[in-house]
Amino acid sequence: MIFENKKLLRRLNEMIDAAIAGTFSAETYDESLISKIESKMMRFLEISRLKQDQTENERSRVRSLIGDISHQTKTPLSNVTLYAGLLSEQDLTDTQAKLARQISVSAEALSFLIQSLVKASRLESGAIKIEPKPGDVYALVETAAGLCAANAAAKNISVEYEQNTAHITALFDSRWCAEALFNIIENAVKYTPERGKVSVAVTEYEMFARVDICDTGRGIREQDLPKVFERFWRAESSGDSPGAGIGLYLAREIITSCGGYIKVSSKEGKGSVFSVFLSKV
Amino acid sequence: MSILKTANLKKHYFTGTTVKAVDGVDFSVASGEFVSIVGSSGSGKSTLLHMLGGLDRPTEGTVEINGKNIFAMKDDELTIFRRRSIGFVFQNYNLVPVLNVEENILLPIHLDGNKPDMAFVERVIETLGLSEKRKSMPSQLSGGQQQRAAIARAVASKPAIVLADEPTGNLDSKSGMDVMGLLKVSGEKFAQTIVLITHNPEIAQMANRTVRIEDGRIVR
Amino acid sequence: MKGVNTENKKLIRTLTARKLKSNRARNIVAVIAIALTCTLFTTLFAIGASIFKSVQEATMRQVGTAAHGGLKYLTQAQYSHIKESPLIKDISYSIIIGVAENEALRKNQTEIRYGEDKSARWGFSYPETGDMPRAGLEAACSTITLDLLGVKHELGQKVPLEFTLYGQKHRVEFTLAGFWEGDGVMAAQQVWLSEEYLNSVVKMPEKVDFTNGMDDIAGTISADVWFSDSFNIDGKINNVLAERGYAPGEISTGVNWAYMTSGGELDPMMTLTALLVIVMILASGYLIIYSVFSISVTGDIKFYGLLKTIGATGKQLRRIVRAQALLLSAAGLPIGFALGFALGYVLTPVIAEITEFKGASSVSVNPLIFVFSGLFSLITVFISCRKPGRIAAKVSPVEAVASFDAKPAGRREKRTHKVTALNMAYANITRKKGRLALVAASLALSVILLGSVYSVVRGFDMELYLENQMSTDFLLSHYSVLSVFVQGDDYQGVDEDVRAEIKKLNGLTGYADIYLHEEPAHKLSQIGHKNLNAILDSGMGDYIAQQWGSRPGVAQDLEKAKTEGIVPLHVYGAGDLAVSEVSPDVNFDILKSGNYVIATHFFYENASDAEVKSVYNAGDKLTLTNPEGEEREFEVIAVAGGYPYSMGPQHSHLLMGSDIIMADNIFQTFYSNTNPMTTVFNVADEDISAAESRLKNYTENINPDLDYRSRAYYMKEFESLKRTYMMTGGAMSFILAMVGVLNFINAVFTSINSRRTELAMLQSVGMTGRQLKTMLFGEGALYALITVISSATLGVPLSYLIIRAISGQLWFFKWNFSFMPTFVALPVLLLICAAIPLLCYRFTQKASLAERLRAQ
Repeated sequence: MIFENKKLLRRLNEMIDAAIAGTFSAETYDESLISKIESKMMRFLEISRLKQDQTENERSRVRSLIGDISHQTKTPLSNVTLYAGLLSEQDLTDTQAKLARQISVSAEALSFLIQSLVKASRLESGAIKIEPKPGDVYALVETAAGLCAANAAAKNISVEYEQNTAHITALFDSRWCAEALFNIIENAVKYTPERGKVSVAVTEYEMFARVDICDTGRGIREQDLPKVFERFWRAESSGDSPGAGIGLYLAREIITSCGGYIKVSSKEGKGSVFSVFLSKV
Repeated sequence: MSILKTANLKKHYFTGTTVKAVDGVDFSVASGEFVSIVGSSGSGKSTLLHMLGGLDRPTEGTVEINGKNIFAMKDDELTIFRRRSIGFVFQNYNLVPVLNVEENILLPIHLDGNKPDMAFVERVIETLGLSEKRKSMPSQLSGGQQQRAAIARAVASKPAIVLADEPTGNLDSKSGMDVMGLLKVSGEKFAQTIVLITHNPEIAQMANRTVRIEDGRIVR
Repeated sequence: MKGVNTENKKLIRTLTARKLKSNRARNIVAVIAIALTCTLFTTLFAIGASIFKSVQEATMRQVGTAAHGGLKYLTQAQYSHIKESPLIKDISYSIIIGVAENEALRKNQTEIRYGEDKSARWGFSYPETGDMPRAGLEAACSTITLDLLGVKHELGQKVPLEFTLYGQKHRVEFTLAGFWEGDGVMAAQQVWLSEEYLNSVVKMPEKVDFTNGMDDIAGTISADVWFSDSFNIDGKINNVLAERGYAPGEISTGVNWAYMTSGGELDPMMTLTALLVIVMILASGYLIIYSVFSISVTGDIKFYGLLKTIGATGKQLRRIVRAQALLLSAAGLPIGFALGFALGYVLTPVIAEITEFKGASSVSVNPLIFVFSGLFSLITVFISCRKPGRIAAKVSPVEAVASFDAKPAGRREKRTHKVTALNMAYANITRKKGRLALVAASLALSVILLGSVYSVVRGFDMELYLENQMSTDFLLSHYSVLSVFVQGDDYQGVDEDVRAEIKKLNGLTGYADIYLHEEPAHKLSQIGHKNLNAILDSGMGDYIAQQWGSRPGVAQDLEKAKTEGIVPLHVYGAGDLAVSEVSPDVNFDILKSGNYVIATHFFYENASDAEVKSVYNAGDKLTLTNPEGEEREFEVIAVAGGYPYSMGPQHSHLLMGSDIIMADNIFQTFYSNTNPMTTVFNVADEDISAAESRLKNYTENINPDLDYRSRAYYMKEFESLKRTYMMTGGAMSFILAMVGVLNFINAVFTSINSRRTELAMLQSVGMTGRQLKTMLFGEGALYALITVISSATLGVPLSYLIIRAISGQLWFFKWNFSFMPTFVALPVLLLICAAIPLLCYRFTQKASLAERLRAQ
């Protein structure tokens, strides 16, 4: 009995090794327990391999679907925008002009949403290749903050960020990470009241470069903290403020893809701090 | 990756003159594939199917399943291999007359000394419309019901390969389609490879691939 | 743990149970077959155990106690010490006071003792009427003692006893307190006295020595001992003594040899017969059980094939077959036990009568009977279903799916015959040739055996038998001489009284006394020694060594005969009538005129191919010695084939040496025998029955120690022997016939059952019920015909062998062969063979035609 057990365990160990190496195959067919386990193990490995294949297939199907959507909606949408613009240039009554403008705004919102979704899907399915390369974090912050300047100015919000002649080098995909940071800063600006302040600070660590985006908005409730990066999640209190709830989700996907991570801390009523960690190696 | 592969498979009967039931078949089935075999009656397709499942020994040639030549196994090994890896559906049902429907369905699982996955078995029984008949003896069932029970038996143990010989031959077209649906779904869900003999073109179309056999050989 | 788990077992059980249910007809036949086998085994073992038990009991009675062993000549102190041994299961004792010296009791050793109740009970001497003596001058004794003393069987009667103690003669009248039915077989009768009386006359010895004979023995204790079981009693007694601290030999011990016959002491002939019967039962059981299972497995081959396609391994299939057999055995065995025991109950007295084990009238209920018969039956069942199990295990899985896809039947072309019912019948029964052979063989075997037995019995020749058994009308001896079982013969039992009585018989035409003197160590003359060695060297010596070598002392005796020429002799002194029986050519007047003797051939003369058949031959001189040591020379005047068996002591014959016969008058001058061993006499035919009834009365009532044999007795014995052979042979034939018929029923039933659809199909295409029946009748008749033909052809040499084997041992057999039984069997067989298929057909006919057609 003890001998049998030992034999059984030894064979199990071999089987698992073979399974990891991908060379497993059942060897005996008799009434013994070990033979039964072999057969089942083989079956299990086969099922999981086939499942993996199936997932791969589905992924490529999704990829092409997304491509199709983005491609196929482009023309009609730009047409809508174009004709809405043309319409508003006509002699319109006030009411009509207002309606025309609404069309433009919605079309643009839709375009933005589709673009965001396409981005998100591409990121998810791996259609977008994110290629982290060494770059200057300050330059990255500057690019992102620059993109927000217009919106911030409209709300009379100052976006402050450090300028430094020194470089902090980290690994990131400059185009996509700029967009990620932009999304975060944009989000901060969105939830900060007029004449508020958004500050961006960079700290260097041994392994990481940290970018803190600090706002003076209303903050996030503690129980909502884990949800802020979820797709289409919007705080209940965000009410009618514009947005699709996809920016932070995208930001996190991008940062994660670059090998970094993101976290948030917040106090309700006192504003939030989003910290982006970019890997240096 | 092919799960099932034959090489120069032959089955000859000698009765004064030689009858070549299967005469040099080389083909392979990929894992998870759904292959249908078509051919006129007497073309050797049933004999081929029996050899694929190790029921009959070939005159010449090999059948490899998962890279293993099944005819190199001893009789009992082959039997055990079969009950673990292959589900059969026969033209003439072949239910065990002394066992009721449910016992028949659970037979291969019990023979291997396993506890059946009752939830799955339950679903199979339901899908095949056998819930009412589960305690009936085969002799109390209609042909169609017997065939459905036979199919349930073949898939209940979630074998890697299901070999079916005209499984819908005795069913009306609606239940025929239901049965095929079940086979396909179970095939996808449990990564089963299905090889099926049929003469119904509609059913043959449901397969990933169709192989035609004439006079014991594959014709393309 | 071999991977056989519970799910698996449960499934096999379900399959087995269901399969059984679906095979009702097969089950009935199988249960009958198993029950039959078990019945036979149980009967055999019940009879065997009963005989064994009764032989054991008889021995115990001779020994005088049922206890395992005994210790003798103990002092009180020794007894109380030994009594406490933990190795002893039970112990009781008696104390000897003396031996009765009444004149009336002179011939029967009668011991006077005080005994505990238990000791009396174990010694078969416990009062059935009244009680053991409790006080004063009370006594208890057997009816034999009472009869000899002439005391009425009545409590309170006076019993006079005489005995000597410490040199003083005691004559005391005791009061009868109890008595029991006496048993003449016992070596000594007991008279029980009270403890009070014992203490008043006997001085209990402190120490036992035997210098003063009886006086020292008086007052010593004889202890009877029981142990936990009867194995190695001798060793157990020694263990007790060792454990109690006695030196070996310090205390006299005895083993009850009734318990020593448990193993090797059994009669080899009987053991052989029993083995033969076991083998025969096994074979006949196998024949039927095997065929039942083999047919049912073949019929169910699709079922097993199907299970195999689904994944049942050969081992699992074999287990299903075996489990079915086991379940059927569970039903069959109890029936067999009951029937077999009942049969044993009925047959034991019959067998006992035939085999002369007269005591075996009660049946043993030893549970071992059932254990053994169950075991043997199961062995038979397992052997029988081994091959069917293998067939099931080896089934090819395609068998079940039997596709019609390009798989032509393996039959060659056949000429077209006209389709008649008989042609079809022939084609049908030859479809399964193996089955046909099996059934025909088992039927034929019974016919052959019956024929053989009939031939054997017809060959029995009464004249030949009597010639050897008994040549005079009457013969009278002490019962011990005539009994095969009683040792210690009384060679001088025919006293004056009875001889006078015989001489008074009406119509007495001839009379002779026969005396016997055994000379255990006769020194052969030189010629005699030479002849002996010639005989021994020519095969006789090997024969004796092989046949009897295992008996104690035989090897030494043989050696002694070879090297020293010392052999035992039986010296008979016989009157004219007896001598003329031994050797009719010898003139008795010459024989009685001087020191002449007749010598005889070596006992197993046929085992020797030497030219000399006898140690002493005509003209040789030999020297005999009488008990006083006096020697006398005799001359051989003739050599006879042998001394007649019936006129000698029944249980002893000489392996070596010679019977020497001399005239009675010469015998009397040389030996001092007072009475002859035997008398033989003839009576005129018309007076035979009167003489017989007088002898009967005399030997039963006047002197029960004597017994007689008459020609009529041997004629009766001959008839009973004939009956025995007829009965045993007939029973065996009957069993075989049953096996055959069961096989036949099974074969026919399964064949018709499996052809149900086929038969229905035949009917549907226009075969009438009548034609169908003709066909089935034809099938049965063909079976019968094949059986008869094969038993009349192949059966003849087989029958010849059987007859040779049986009759080889019978000297009174005249060769004879008869076809009669075979011809008598034919109509019976025909009837059975025709009736069974039709009955089976009727059975299947209950369902409607449409139902039967659909049934497949």
